Amino acid sequence: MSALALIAALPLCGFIVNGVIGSRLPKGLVAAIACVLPALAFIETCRMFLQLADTGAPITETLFTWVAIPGLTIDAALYFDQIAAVMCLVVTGVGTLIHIYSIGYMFHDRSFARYFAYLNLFLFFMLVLVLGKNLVVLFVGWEGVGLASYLLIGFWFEDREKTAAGLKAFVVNRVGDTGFILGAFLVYNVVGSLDFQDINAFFALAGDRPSAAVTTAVGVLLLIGACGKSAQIPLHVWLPDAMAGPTPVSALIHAATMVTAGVYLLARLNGLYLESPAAMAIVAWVGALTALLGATMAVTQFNLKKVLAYSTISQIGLMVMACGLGAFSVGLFHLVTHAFFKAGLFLGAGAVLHALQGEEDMRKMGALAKKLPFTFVTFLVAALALCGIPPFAGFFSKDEILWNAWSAANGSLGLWLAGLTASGLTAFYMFRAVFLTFFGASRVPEKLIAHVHEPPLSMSSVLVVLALGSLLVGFIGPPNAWVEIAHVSAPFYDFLAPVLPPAGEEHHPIGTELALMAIAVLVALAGIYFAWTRFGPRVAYPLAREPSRGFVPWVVGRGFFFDAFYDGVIVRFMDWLSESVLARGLEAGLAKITLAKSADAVRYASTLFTRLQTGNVQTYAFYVLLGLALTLWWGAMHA
Amino acid sequence: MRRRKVDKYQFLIGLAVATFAAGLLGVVIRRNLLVVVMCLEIMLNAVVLAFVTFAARAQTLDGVAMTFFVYVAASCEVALAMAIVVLLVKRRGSLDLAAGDELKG
Amino acid sequence: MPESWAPSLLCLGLPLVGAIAISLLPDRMARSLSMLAMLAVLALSLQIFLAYDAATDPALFDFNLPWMPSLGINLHLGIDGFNIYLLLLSALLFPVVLACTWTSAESRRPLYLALMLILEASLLGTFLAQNLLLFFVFWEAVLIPMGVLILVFGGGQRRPAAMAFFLYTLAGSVLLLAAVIALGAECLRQTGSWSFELTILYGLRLDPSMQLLVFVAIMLACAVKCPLVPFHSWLPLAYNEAPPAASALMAGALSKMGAFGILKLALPFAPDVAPAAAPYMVWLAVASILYGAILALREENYKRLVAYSSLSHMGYIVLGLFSFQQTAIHGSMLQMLSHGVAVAGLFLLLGMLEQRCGSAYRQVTALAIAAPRLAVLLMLFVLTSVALPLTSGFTAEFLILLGAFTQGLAAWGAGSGAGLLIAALLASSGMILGAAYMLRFARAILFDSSDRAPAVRDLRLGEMTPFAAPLLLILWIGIAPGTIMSKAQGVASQLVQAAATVEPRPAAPAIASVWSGHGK
Repeated sequence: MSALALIAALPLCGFIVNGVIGSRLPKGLVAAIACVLPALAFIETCRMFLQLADTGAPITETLFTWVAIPGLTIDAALYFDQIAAVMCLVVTGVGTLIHIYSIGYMFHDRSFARYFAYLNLFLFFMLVLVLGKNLVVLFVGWEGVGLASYLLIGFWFEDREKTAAGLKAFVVNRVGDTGFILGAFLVYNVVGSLDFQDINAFFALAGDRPSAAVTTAVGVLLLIGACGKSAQIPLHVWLPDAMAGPTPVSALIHAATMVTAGVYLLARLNGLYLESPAAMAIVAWVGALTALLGATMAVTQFNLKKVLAYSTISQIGLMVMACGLGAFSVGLFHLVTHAFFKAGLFLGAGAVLHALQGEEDMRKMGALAKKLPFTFVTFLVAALALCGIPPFAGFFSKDEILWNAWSAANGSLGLWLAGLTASGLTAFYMFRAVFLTFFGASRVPEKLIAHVHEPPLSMSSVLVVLALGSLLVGFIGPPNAWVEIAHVSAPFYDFLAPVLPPAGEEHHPIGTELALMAIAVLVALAGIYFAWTRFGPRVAYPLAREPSRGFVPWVVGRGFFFDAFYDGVIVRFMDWLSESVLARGLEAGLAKITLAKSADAVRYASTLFTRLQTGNVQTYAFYVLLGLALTLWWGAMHA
Repeated sequence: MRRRKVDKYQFLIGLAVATFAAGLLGVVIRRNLLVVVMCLEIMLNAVVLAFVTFAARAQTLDGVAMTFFVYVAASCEVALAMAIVVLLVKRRGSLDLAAGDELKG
Repeated sequence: MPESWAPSLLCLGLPLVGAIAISLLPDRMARSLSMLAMLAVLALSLQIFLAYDAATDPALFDFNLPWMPSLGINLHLGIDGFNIYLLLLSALLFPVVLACTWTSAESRRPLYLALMLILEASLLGTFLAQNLLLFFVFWEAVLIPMGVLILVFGGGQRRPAAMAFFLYTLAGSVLLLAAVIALGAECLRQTGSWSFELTILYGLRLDPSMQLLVFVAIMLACAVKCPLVPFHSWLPLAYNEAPPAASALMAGALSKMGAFGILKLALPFAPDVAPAAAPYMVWLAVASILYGAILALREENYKRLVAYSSLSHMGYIVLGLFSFQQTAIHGSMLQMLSHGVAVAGLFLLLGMLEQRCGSAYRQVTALAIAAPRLAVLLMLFVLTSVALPLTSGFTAEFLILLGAFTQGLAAWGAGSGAGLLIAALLASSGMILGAAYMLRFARAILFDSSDRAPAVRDLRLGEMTPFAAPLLLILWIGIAPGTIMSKAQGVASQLVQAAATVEPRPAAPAIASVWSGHGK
């Protein structure tokens, strides 16, 4: 079998085996199948990666022809280039780690096998997504991960709230997907092909090109798709609700991989976007806005997982902004570092939840640093990485994004400030969460305190790996300034250089770059400091000042009314339309007219005609003679 | 004799038509069964008158010969009609035709 | 394949022979006998399907017996690109339906089985007929067994349902009869002798007013049959009250008769009027898509919900047909197959549920706990309806929308207005609505707490096997549709050439030149 197809097929086998007979196998075997197959996929990916790094030539595999009619040919083709390599490594690597973590986390769950089946299914679709060579294969993976997400969010389906969250995720994703499909149609009409290489090449040609409006339209439509999948404004409302799923799911799907699919799409079609400055501007501002709003919404959350969810929204906003600035490789780098530290945060939160038997409210936590020191350390490392404190990974990637916000061709002060504010808020809410969870007086209920324990080996080993990643991954992509000063290489950017040219930066002095770097770090430290003053261990009762009053906290606390709008306006409107207008109005009326009224009309006509049947012989005799007279008259007329 | 507007044949045909119409009207309108039968006879007589008039006008005997056929048929018909009337009256107890509307739709 | 076998005749004849045999043989053999007959037809149809290609000689499968030569009415059955998919669909659905309702009370009655066999024969006759009057005879003949099935074996409201179904469809068919006779008379006028052979009638040159008459009459008949908004009022009643097997067949196969009528009759007989009327038909289709979807959003009755979803999906088929674009027509034909199988599966599963719970099935919930196998199957069919990639639903909807969109863009670029484009955009929103109502349905019936789970028996392995074939077809069309699409290529090119108002697929530079520099 072709190597690329093998990478995707391995988790698929896991899905099939565990899905069909998993409930009858012992848990150990289920776990083994579920974790070994992704690990094998990871090894295969590494092999392909090394091959690619050696030769520099992308690998294409056409499996079969999906549709071939005059005028339309779509192949089921897989493609492995540098972008795909990075994504695959993240997906299989972090994916395998989270699978291992899940063994410990879900061990006492009734549907152990079903969980791993779904998780493997997700991995399969995600790999199809990143390995696809054209928009259709990508869409197969795109919708497939949406399905896996739906199944996993609503995993504990006995709870109606959880299934509602799954439904919401799927439907909101579908809104994005519709935009994606329309964008694909438009691409097909403009380019004549859905293949990525063809699309990028078409737009790179200096020759006959469609007008700016068309290119922007394509860019915006595909952006809508990306917004849906990556939970960007205004299609972000599903991600906080998606925290209803098991925590490893939140880590894998809603932090590290699925939600980054939108960023991957933007990077894949960089040729298209680079030709449309308007679309790029929209992308950049959507990303910036999301980064800012996501960060503000995280500040007001008491649920630990929801803090991380909004944080994810915000961070992906930064990635999207990077793509909008033309710095696609920087966006991808942040994707990689984010995968490590966000997964680390989620899994660390999972360890806390595991210890507290499912309690997610930070108001019922506190002083856990002493009871869960190991969890605390790994969580802290990941948190520092998120805040962008050097030398942790987040610093390198986030700082590069901020630098591009300032220096890139369509960068601006506004974008930079938005990113900076988001970073400051990130540090603030992240350490608010850290302090509320791990420091201060213990607010944990009596009955839970006794059972607080560190996570088992399967979980803790993964936490260690992710913490190390959060610490070290950054060094493969040091910023330009460091490259020039310290004469180190940036292997990450060099690797991606053949496919993702670096953003056309005007030449700014290194001093500016270093200055902005310093400002960013200072802002992050300031955020941590403010969190310390309000929520730190010295504060008597850190929540005593909650809830804040005032207009801004109210608006932010309500999520800027996106949910209220969608639920109150759109959903209510559709319900009203469905029930009152159609079901009771139009449908009932139509049925009445066509069925009841037409039957009544026939019945009425029948009563009219039965009046001829008087039962009176004389009347009949008269009819006979009348008919005779008419016949004779007609005969006389036509004789 | 001065020329009349209507010569005798036209008058007789007119008379026959009027008689026929009267009979027809009676058949359709009158409620008494016996009167209806009598009106049938009136219609038949009017037809005979028309036949004889045309025969006289054409100076043939064919129409006159029809008289016999018609009267024979009428007599048989009356005989049967009376039998039906008797049975009908026995069944219903009245000669009213309008009362018998069991077949009303 | 020996020519003397006349496989098309066998497809028709076997069920009829089976029906007669049932009435003669003892009752206890009836079920097995009908299953045997249906499986034989399936085997035959599969053989024909796999052997058929756009390049095969149609005479291989042809059967032509003169019936009334002076009137040009022959018993002419044959396979062509129009009916090859539908042959497979019908032949597949019947044994699956019988197998799924094997243990129900109805399937032990010979009348029920005989009616199903006669229905199969009439249905296949409609699809295989190559003579217009023969087509009409079978078109009408389908109503009788279906009407009786609803009347005798249906639910509480079966009398009004059977009446509504029969009379409403009959009213449409009367118009079809008028068109048939008009065409025959036209043939007499032009060629000097009566003939209802489709090959001869296709060759007639009809003037626009005649085309309009024929087109409107056939469209109305088909609009009632599919059904399409606003001629769908019989749909919720009939689908709800019919026995599960009949609902599955009605939604899966009979509704395709309407689409088939459009494809085979309305479009070829009105080569000038049909493309001109296409904008209105497209809006009718979009209205069906949205109307069915929005109604399904809040429908509490499961069967009615699936019925409305069927209404919605038929709209896609009609949209694809009237886009007059190769991709869209291919998509429509695949959607006929896909939707037929998916909706039949849903009705059959609901029927199995009804068999276990009685009329309380309407309030069933938490099925994923009580009957996980049934839940998984239901979820698979739900996902097909939702048009998830790797299922046939996605392939069909993708091709239809792509074709409609392409044609709409081309029409807009050529200056004939943005109607089709806007219609395609609205139809795409059907994807969102489809996900919403279908997953809402899944959530209502499958996912709830265990204390509300009903005490239903789960599916045994034997009860799951009939679903293997439909699911296989769904996956096959979803993953590798290219293998079978060549069979319908002749039809698609033929229809597109006949319309030929706008180019099938605009070459990219052409569009680019239209748009670039104009700065829209």
